[in-house]
Amino acid sequence: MNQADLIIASEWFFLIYFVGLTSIYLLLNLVAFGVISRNMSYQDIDEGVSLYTGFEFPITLLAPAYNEEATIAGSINSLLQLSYPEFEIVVINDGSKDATLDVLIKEFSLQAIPEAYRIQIPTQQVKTIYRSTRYPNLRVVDKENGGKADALNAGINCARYPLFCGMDADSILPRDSLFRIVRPFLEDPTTVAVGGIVRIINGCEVRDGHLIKTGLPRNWLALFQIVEYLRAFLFGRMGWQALNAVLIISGAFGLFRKEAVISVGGYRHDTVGEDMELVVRMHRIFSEQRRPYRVHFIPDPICWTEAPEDLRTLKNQRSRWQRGLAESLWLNKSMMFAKNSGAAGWLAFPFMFFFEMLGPLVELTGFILMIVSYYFGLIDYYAAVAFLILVFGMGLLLSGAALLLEEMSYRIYRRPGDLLMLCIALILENFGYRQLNSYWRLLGMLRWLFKSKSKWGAMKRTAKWNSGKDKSP
Amino acid sequence: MPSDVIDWARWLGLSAIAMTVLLLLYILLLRGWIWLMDRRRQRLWQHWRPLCMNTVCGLTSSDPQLPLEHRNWLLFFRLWHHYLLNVQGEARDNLRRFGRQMGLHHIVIKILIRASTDRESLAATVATGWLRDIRAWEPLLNSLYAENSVLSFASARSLARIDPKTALPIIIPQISKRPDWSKHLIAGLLLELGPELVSAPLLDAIGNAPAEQITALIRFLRFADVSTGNAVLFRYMPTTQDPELLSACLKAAYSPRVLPLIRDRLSDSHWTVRVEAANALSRLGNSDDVNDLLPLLTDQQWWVRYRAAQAIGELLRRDKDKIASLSQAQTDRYATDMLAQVVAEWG
Repeated sequence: MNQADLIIASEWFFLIYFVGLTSIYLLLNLVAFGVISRNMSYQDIDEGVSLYTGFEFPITLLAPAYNEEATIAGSINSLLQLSYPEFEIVVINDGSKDATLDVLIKEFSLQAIPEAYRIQIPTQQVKTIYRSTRYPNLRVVDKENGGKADALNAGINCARYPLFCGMDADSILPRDSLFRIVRPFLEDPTTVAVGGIVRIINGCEVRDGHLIKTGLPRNWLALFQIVEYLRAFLFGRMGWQALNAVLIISGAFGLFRKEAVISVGGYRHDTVGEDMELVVRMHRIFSEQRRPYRVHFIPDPICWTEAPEDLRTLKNQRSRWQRGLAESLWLNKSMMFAKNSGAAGWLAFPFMFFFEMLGPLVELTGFILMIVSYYFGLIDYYAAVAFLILVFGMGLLLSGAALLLEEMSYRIYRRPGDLLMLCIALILENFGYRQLNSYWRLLGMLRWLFKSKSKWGAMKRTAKWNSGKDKSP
Repeated sequence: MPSDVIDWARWLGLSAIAMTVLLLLYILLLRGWIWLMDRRRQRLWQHWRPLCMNTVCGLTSSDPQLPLEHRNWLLFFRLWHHYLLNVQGEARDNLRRFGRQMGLHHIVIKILIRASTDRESLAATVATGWLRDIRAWEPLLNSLYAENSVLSFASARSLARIDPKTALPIIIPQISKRPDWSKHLIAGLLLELGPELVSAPLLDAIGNAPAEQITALIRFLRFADVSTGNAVLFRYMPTTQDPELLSACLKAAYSPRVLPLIRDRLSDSHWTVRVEAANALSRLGNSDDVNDLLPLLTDQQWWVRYRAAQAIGELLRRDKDKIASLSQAQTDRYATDMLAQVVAEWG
């Protein structure tokens, strides 16, 4: 094979790869259109969200905290105001080096209790368990540092209720979030996990832990991430949901059947993507055991979270996410094309492996190869431009479709100006932001390959959206 | 690479860009159309809202109302449905009458009979129930068996609202056959109808159900009257060994008459049954039951020990001194730890 043959072969490879990826995304889009349209038609007759029948499963909210002295009190205060018949909050202080525990003790009048702690999943040593004398449904577990997964496992050991909700301590939840996310458990007894749409809080107004007004951020990075989240959640996950092949439930907010999670061994400590790894492992083990199970995803916006507004923090976040994805897939690789693994093993897993995990590598190699080949005259100007048009055109189309889904369903951003801004962001993110993102994701892959040490994913938070009294401790 | 493939890639890319532009234009037009629809909705609701409020308060308007236009019926339904959900008794009856005065029943029956969009069919299904329109009985009965669980449950609820006495013997046996019906919504329906209407058909359904479906029905026994509950518990608890059925029975125990049945299950071989027995004793027992609960404090299962300690605490009316002396008498560390935890939880 000479140089020209090699170039032609690689051109074919990149073309087929890209067309395959786009076709799958477009198919997911069509499925998501169906699911969301059906869901919207149910909204006129909705009767059940705030009905107290005694049939709602009680829920344990697990809020792991590490060095969150500035935000922890406000976050827990907002969780305490959630509307649900029976829930408890377990805050897990994972050996914070700052005053997180002191803030909690002072703010919620905590008292140490002699709890008979059960070790169902091994964790780092639990030092003390506290109970709030003001809020009977609030407990705090103070433990040795072991990472977020370890903190969540300690929380599961302490949880009293059959369902637990793993979340980030700084997630902002609408008051009826629990009513919404618990529904699949009430409707389908085989449900083992439920996720929902996570939205970006930057640019919105939050008072006392509650969302008051939605709006778009002025920061372009945050704006691009809004378009990205629309794509990821509205058709990415909604599309897979219809096939029982959702492999990702965001760590920011997801509801799990405790018994099911314990039966697969809880969260793994040795991965940075413990949330995704758990869901993939549940798919793998339950399909091996032929246990009937379902992982649901609901289209309701149930959780709001802050997006990074500076390049450094965003780079770290994306690199961690990609590393988490690679670890999750690699640790459960036996699921790919496994007997009984259904759509999750035969469609979603290979898609994640070949397109999401290896995607940044292929994408960047493609770009670089094209530039180099053009420089050395191995491909002509006409072909290079044709491929660029194809790549940008398909990227734009997918983002546009995601925005259409948003308009058909929730229309979170009501102001016409906001819609225009989203349209502009949707176009601009294709020029630079996406390529940068691919580079960061490639770094994540390399970190996974070279096994660099994982630790708590600290994120620089601005909390500009918080106009309430809980802005500072 | 052949030039026709490159051409194809270029045209595909350009088509995608053109489609995106069209999509964005469509989104902007859609937003404009939604804005207009929303303005219309607001205008109509501004007119209907005081009428609904007056109706809820039992005030009748002196002005004759114009009949509802077909194109506006869904907007009216959304507002009217919202009011109906938030009132009870006479106010609800007034709203039903108001719906009829507006001519809603003529519109929704037509929609229900002829094939319509999913959204309209669902809303019409619910509306006929609120309106208690007997003409809708047959179409609703047909959609009760529909595969779509939202439509089938909405039909069940409407049938129950039209004629609960006739509907419940049809609907209740479906509960065990439709695992896709939300338990939360079924509970809401049974709660709305009340034990007088629910008890007899539920008892019949349990009596006639195949063995594997009984547990699903017993879970709703709490919405029947106490004597129905007792009858079912006395029938199944002494004979069955099925832990799920026993747990469901124990959860449905609401009368001290069944205490002997509960006490028998404190030593059941299945731990989930022991947990439910301790819970039931906590609700119904008295201080004499504390001795029966003490062995459970050393149970192998954490949940059994925890619920037993909680039950002991409740039966001793949270008397910390009595608990302390009980704790001192225990030789097992698990038992003392659990009692200490339960006392600490009281604060």
